[in-house]
Amino acid sequence: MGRYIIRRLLQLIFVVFGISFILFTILSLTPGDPATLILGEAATAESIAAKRAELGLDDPFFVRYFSYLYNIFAHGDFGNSYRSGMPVFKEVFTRFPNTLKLALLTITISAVLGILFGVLSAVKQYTWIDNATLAFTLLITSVPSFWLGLMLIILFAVQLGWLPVSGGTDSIRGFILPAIAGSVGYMANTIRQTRTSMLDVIHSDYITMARAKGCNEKTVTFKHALRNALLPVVTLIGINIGWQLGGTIIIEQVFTISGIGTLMITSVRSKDIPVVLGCVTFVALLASLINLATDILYAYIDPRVKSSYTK
Amino acid sequence: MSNTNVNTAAERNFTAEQVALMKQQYKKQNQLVATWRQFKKNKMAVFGLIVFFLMVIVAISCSFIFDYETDIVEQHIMERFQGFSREHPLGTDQFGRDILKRVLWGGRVSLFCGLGAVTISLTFGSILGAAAGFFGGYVDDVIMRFMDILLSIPETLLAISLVAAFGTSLPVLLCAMAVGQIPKLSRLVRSQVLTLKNEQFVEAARCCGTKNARIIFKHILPNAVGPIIVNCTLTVARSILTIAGLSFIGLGLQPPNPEWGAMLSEAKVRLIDYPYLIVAPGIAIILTVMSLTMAGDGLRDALDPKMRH
Repeated sequence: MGRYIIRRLLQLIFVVFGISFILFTILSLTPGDPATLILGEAATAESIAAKRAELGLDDPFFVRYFSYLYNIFAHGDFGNSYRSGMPVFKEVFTRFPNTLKLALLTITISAVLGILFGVLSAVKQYTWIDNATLAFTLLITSVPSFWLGLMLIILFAVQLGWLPVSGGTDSIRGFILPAIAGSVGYMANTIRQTRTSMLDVIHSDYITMARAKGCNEKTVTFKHALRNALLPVVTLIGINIGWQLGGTIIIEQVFTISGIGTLMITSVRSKDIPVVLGCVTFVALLASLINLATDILYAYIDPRVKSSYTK
Repeated sequence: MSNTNVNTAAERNFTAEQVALMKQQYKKQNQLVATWRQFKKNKMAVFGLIVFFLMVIVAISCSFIFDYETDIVEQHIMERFQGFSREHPLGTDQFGRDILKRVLWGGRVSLFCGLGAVTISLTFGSILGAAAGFFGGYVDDVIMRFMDILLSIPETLLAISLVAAFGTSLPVLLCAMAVGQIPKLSRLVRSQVLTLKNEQFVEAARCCGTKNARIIFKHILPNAVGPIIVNCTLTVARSILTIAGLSFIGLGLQPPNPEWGAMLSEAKVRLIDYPYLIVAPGIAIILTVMSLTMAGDGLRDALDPKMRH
C-alpha cells in the first residue's frame, strides 16, 4: 500500500511539473509587453525597461519558468496581477470558497441522483423504467449546462420566484439552481457507469447465492451488489470533482457568482495573464490532487488493488 | 486488406461468374456491410443519423438560400422583439434579426467547428497514438506521459488558456477545442495499434519490406477505423458543446456571428423580458448533440462483435 502511494506521489510530481510547464508556456506566448500593460501606453522607454527588469522578463524562458515554480512552492506566490497589483494567490483564494461550494454541491447532486437512477435502471433492466432512465440520460448529456441554467432561472426564479436569480454568496439558496444546472452532465456519466457496473455484478454467482440463502431484494441490491459495483463509480466521481472545478466557470457566468471562473474570465478579457495562469494552474493542480486522493481511496477500498501491492 | 484475395482469384484463371460469386461472398462478409446491417436494427441510432444528415444538408444549403450580410447579421431595429409570425416563424431578436435564419446558419458554424476540431484532434491524435503504439519503448513513454499531463488539465481550462494567449480567432478556437480531445484519441489509437501490430497481415507487409509509415497508415489504421469513427462522432458532439460554452462566456466566436452559444450570450442580457430568445438556439444544440450521440452509440454497439448474432 505504501509503495502504491509513493508511486502515485512521484507521478503527481511529474504531472505537476508538466501541467505548470504547458500552461506557463502557452500563456507566456501571449503577444504584447506586460510592462507596457502595467505602466500604460504613455510610459517612458526607461521606466518600461526598468519594469521589465523588475519582473524578470528579460531572463531566458527556463529561468522565468523555474523562478515561477520556485515562488509557488516555496512561498505560495503566484505572482502579482498586472491590473490591480494584488497577489494572484490572494485574488484566487478570496473567490475560491464560492467555486468550491458550488462544485461540491454539484457533485453531491449528480452522485446521489446518478447512483440512484443507475441502480434503478440496472435492477429493472429492459423495463420501461430502464428505458426511461436511458432516454433521460441521453437528454441530459446533450443539454448544455448554461442553457439549462437559463431555463431554470426563467422557471424557478422569474416565474415562480422560489429561488434567487443570481447566486447569492451568503446563503445556500443561491447555489441550488447553479448546482442543478451544472450537475446534469456528471449525472449522466454517473448513471451510465453505475448501470454498467451494477449489471456486471448483478449476474455474478454470489448474488444468486445471496438470493438463494433468502436475502430480500433490498439487501441483495444495496448490501451485496451496490457495494461491489460502487468501486468504478467512486473513481468517476473523483474525476468529476476535478473536472467540475474547471466546469463551474461557465455556470458561474450564468448565475453571476463571484468565483474563480468569473475572475478567470475578467482576467482573460483584460489580458491579465498572471491571474489567468494562477487560476488555471491552481485549479488544474487541485484537480490532480483530488484524482490522487481518489486513486488512493480506491486502492484502499478495493481489496484486489490493495493485495497487488502488499505482497 | 482482403481486396488482394479477389485479384489473385482472377489471376488464377477463374471464370467471370466464379469471380462474381466470390466478390458477392466477399461482400457478404464485408465488415462495413455487417456493421450497417447491425446499425439499421437500432432505431434510435438510425433516427440520430437521419437528423444529423438533415442538419448537414440544411447547413450546406443555407448559404445558397440566405445572404450572410443581409439576412443574418444586418440589424433591423424597427422589427425587434417580434413574436412568432408568418414572416418570422421564430420571431426576431433584439436587433430585429430573424431567429430562424440565424439558428439555421448557426448550425453551419457549429458543425464546421465540430468537424474542424475533430479533424485537428484526429490528425494529431492518430499520428501520436500510432507512433506510441507501434514503436513502443521510449517513444511510447514520452508521448503517453505527455498525453497524461494534457489529460489532467480540465478541457475548459486548457481552451481558456489558449484563448487568453492567442485571442478568439477561428483557428485558435479550433485548436483550443481539439487540444483537449487529442489525448483521448491518441490513447484509443494506441490501444488499437497495440492489438493490431502483431497480426499476420502486418507481419506479411513487413516481410515485403514495407516502410513503417506505410504499415501504420495503410495496414493498421484502416483496420482500427471503427472505434475511431465512434469516438469522432462523440467528439464532434462534445466540441459543439464546448464551442457553444466558450462563445456563451464571450471567449469563443463573437457576436454578431450566429453561433448558438453566442446567440444565447446575447439573449442572456434580455432573459427576463424576452425569455423566448433562448429557446431556439438551445434546442438546436440539444438536437445536434443528441443526434450525434445516438448515432455514435448505435455505431459503437454495431461494431461490438458481442452484440452481433
